[in-house]
Amino acid sequence: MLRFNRPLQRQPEKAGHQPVLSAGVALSLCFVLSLAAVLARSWPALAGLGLANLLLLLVHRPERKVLLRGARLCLWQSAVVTGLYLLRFGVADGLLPGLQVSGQLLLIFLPGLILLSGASGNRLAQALGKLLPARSAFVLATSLKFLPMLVTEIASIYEAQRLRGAKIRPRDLLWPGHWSDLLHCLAAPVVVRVLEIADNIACAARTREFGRFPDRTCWPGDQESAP
Amino acid sequence: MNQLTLKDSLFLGFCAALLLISKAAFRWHLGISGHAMLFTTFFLLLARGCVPFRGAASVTGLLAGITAALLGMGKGGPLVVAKFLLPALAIDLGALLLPWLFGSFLLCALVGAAAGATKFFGTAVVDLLVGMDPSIVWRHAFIEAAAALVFGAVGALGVPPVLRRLRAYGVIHPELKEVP
Repeated sequence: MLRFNRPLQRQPEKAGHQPVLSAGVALSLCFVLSLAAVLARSWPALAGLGLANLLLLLVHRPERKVLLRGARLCLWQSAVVTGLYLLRFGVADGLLPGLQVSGQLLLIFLPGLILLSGASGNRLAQALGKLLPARSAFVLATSLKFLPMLVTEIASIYEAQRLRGAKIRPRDLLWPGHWSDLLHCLAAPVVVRVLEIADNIACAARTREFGRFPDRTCWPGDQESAP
Repeated sequence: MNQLTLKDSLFLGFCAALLLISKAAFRWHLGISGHAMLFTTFFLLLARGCVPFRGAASVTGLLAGITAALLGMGKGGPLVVAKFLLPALAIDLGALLLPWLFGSFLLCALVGAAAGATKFFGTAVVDLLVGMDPSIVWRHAFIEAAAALVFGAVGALGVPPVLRRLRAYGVIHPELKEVP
């Protein structure tokens, strides 16, 4: 039952989930670590970056559920990439480069994953708001924050369409005749879902008077603390 | 239409995010040059096709470029913004000049190819900045652009069926009805 007579009080964030780094610092670290992972070409560099990511992980304390989902995605992708390298270059020439690229991909993804799961959307929007106009910062932060949910939705639609008999498995897509299934059974429903989510978020923001003032105002408890 | 609503802005933001994760997920260094343009043209044309705003693809490209630069994706640092913005500008220009673009496979493929060809400029600028010999720069940029042109056209071919299905569902703006 809703209790309207109680004064509106915001629940304090649990001490264990309060990020140590400010969103601005986390964003800068994410930029530097991902860029370094793109440029890294040797095993020692990748090992150093792995260590730096581990430290960020310990300091930023992201949600375990999101991390597990990210780890599953990265493991699957590493298996696919290494498998493709083995198929193309053979075991002798393909194994080490395949593992190196897989590690590189993991290190490119990991900082963003830690950032997105650790920082609240509001703190991220405030950090981006220092670089971009308030509305663009909100749009960017919201689309990044809701991205994991969107990926889950895409996975659900994919599974449901496969159960209906759509030929959209990776091995089915090797035959170009099945590409139309991918567009009709996956792409179109995903776009419909994305439009629905965008509509719901826009509706929620409008009810909170978003856009009424040129500068965005924030709930006092969510103000970014000075680093 | 020249007003971008919050819902449309968020949709463009999601298109930018999906474009980035598609590009990141298929970053496999298999020596197939320009294959990322498949996703770029698909999502940019989709964004322009679903949102009745003249600069919709450019907004999506700009958001994707800023996010890619912030998350450190791509080798060009801040120049990575241009890699998303140039194809987006080509798509917006194509949609402006050809209002019946989204109903035709051929026109979509042509605009997608033009968007892919803009990779020539991005590649040439990055190569020149790293100090490569100019004769090699033009050859390298030409090869990259040719591959991106093909993949751009293929990616664009996926847009008309999706938009036709969305029109049938009645979920995209009525102003974007197919012109016979």
